[in-house]
Amino acid sequence: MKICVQWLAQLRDAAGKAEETVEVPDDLTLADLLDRLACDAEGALGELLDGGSAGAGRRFLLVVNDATVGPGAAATHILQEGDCVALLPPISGG
Amino acid sequence: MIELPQLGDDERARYEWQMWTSGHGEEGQRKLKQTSVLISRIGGLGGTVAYYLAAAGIGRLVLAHAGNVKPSDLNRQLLMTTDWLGKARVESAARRLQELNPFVEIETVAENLSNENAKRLVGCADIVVDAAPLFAERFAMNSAAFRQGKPIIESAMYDFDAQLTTMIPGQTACLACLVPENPPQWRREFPVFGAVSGTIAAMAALEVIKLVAGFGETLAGTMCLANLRTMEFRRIAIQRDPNCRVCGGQEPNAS
Repeated sequence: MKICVQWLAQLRDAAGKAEETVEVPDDLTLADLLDRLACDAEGALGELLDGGSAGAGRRFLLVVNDATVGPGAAATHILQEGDCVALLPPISGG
Repeated sequence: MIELPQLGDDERARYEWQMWTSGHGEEGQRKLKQTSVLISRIGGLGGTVAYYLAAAGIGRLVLAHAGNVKPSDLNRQLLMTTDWLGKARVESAARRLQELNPFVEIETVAENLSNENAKRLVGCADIVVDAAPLFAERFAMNSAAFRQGKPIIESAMYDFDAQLTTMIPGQTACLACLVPENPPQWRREFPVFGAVSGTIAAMAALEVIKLVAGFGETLAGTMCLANLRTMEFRRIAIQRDPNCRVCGGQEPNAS
């Protein structure tokens, strides 16, 4: 199935793009997706995604479609064809 | 029930155009006059929130920010001026706010929020606005505010990205639900145009005004994400973490 991954804030800079479509197996969980993304990423993006679901998954806000999914729920959140997963680094300042 | 403060003729004249706003009126204005707001850091974001709240006639502002005005502050910190370089930020801010609106009571605290002072400073206000750049300060304010049942307006930006939400103890997620750990990659210095921090500040000030006056819809339970480079705005639902170390995701009115 196809999943849209959106990179926000510093992740967008590191990925060099705002979003991409990834082909993944059916019934993939959100945690599995984070682990795959961390495994495939290189350079600055790889550093930010370090640790996959156990690392990056606790450092970034995880948004599936229009709602956040808490880090504790990523392992049981099963993705659906066409879902849009946004990874949002916490930002702070002004 | 505490009676709302009255407005004088000079105040009615000052706020006349905003009292025409549907749902606000003189009663809403009196509610603003009754309200005190703590703002953590009065830089490009918090300073602009303070400016709009002062203009709107908030009763009392408590401004917390350590340090003196630096040249690099002046591209966005509209309460700081060139002739105030090297002098205390909070005093520059108080002077500018009183010039704008002498009816607003200003209290200055030349300290940043910390675990040591958060309880006392949050206790001084009805609502708190978080515009701090460091997560340690934000976590201290979040914990104190949730313990004391005070709403927080959480505002943040980086480059052209901005996040804004209103958190209400017992009703919504708190900051620790969303950011369980201090983000190790976060740097205190960040790319910023003043117009970006000012845009999100104006929206944060509106959150306070709507929360106090009781009209419209706030962002409570949701977060506005803005990309001002591409002018894309979206609003997402934010979930409480049932295992949150601060709010525990407790239900409203839970004992």
